[in-house]
Amino acid sequence: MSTLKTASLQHPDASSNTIHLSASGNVSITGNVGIGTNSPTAKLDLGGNNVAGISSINGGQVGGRRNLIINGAFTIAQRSTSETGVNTNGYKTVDRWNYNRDTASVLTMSQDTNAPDGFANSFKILVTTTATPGTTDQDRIEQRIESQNVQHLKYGTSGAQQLTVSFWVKTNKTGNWSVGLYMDSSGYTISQAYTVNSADTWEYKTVTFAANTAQAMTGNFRLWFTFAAGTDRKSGTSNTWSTSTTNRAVGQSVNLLDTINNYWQITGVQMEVGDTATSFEHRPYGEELLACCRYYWTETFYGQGYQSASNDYSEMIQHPVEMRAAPTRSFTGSILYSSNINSAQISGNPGGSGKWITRVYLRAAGTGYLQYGQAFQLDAEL
Amino acid sequence: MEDKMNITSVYHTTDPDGNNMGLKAIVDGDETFIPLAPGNRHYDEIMRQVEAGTLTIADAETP
Repeated sequence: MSTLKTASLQHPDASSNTIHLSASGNVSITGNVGIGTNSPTAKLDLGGNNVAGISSINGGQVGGRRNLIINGAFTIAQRSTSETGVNTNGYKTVDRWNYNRDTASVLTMSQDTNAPDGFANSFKILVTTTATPGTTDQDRIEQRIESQNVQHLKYGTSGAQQLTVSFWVKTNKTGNWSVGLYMDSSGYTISQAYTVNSADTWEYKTVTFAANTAQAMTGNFRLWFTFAAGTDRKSGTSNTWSTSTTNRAVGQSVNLLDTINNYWQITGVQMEVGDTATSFEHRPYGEELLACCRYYWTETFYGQGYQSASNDYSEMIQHPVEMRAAPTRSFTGSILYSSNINSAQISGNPGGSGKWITRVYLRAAGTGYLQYGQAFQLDAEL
Repeated sequence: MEDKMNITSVYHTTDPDGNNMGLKAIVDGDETFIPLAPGNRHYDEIMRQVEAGTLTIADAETP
């Protein structure tokens, strides 16, 4: 047996080497590789043959769900599809996305139908009252993720995983914007810039965050997109985990809030293990809705029955999924129909079953048949 | 990182038999009914403010 010793191979008709061999045993190939096909059309084309022995893709799982974000395509908007005059923090329109601000700006937030090909919706912020961020201000949209859903990142160990965030963005403001992560338990944060090159154009962005080998994930996790930040929130070091508040919005040079009618839109948000962004993981509407209902559910309740004594009538509402925590309950709108009801109060079940069931008390005088209907909201968001 | 909620008018709530069932409060302008359940973000924030001495919980309203 003989051994061919060479560092590179070149086709007679090619102008440069196409296969390179390194002393360490690595092989690099320029162009496509075909196995079972003579005309590969991708970097690795298996020609319809099977693959065996794969343990990971990009450091994450081979199949199943890759996206750690819920409602990344903004198809679910149980609270509202549009809110004007937004001047407080909280969950306003699209499910799972929280608005957190420090400035005195006023915004319109909406689930929009303008989106890149392959998406039906996006989330849009429109400035209606301008603001200049103070030194320690940061205005952002964020998704909070349960700690138990991100343990596979192995934070706090030498095997901690990188995270790649990909998304489509459109805005009238070109320049550098910031996207970041935050760990609730330790206060560790990391962020870096992405650049919008063309105004009013959907652009696809990917950002890979360093793994946190020092801090374990004992609390909730956040992915946030900043659209205005003061000096003390963006003067830190890019892509570096730190408890410094200067690391929260590194790279944010644009102030979305500086002019009325400025806007920022986003969709196709995916966060996955590894250093490579894969195609967006589209999920059926019903599946995405149920994922959202763990944190928030709104419906119209109808009940009727016989009350044998004053203030003695109650109904049970079964939640569609186990909610993250016993939810906060509220009513909106008027009572749809009523009989012998002088007021209504939802009191819920404060015990362990509160994650699955809500109890409605009707405070009605006298006895007799009662009918009642009203929209309610159950909130177990992070 | 604390949530920035505006919480006012916090009362205990009771069932028709007078049993303590939870809290009633105005959160960011909306009337809400909050369970006595750690992990609920509104309950956690109320308890944080009560411990800080910046919020008090009133006795139950008369049914």
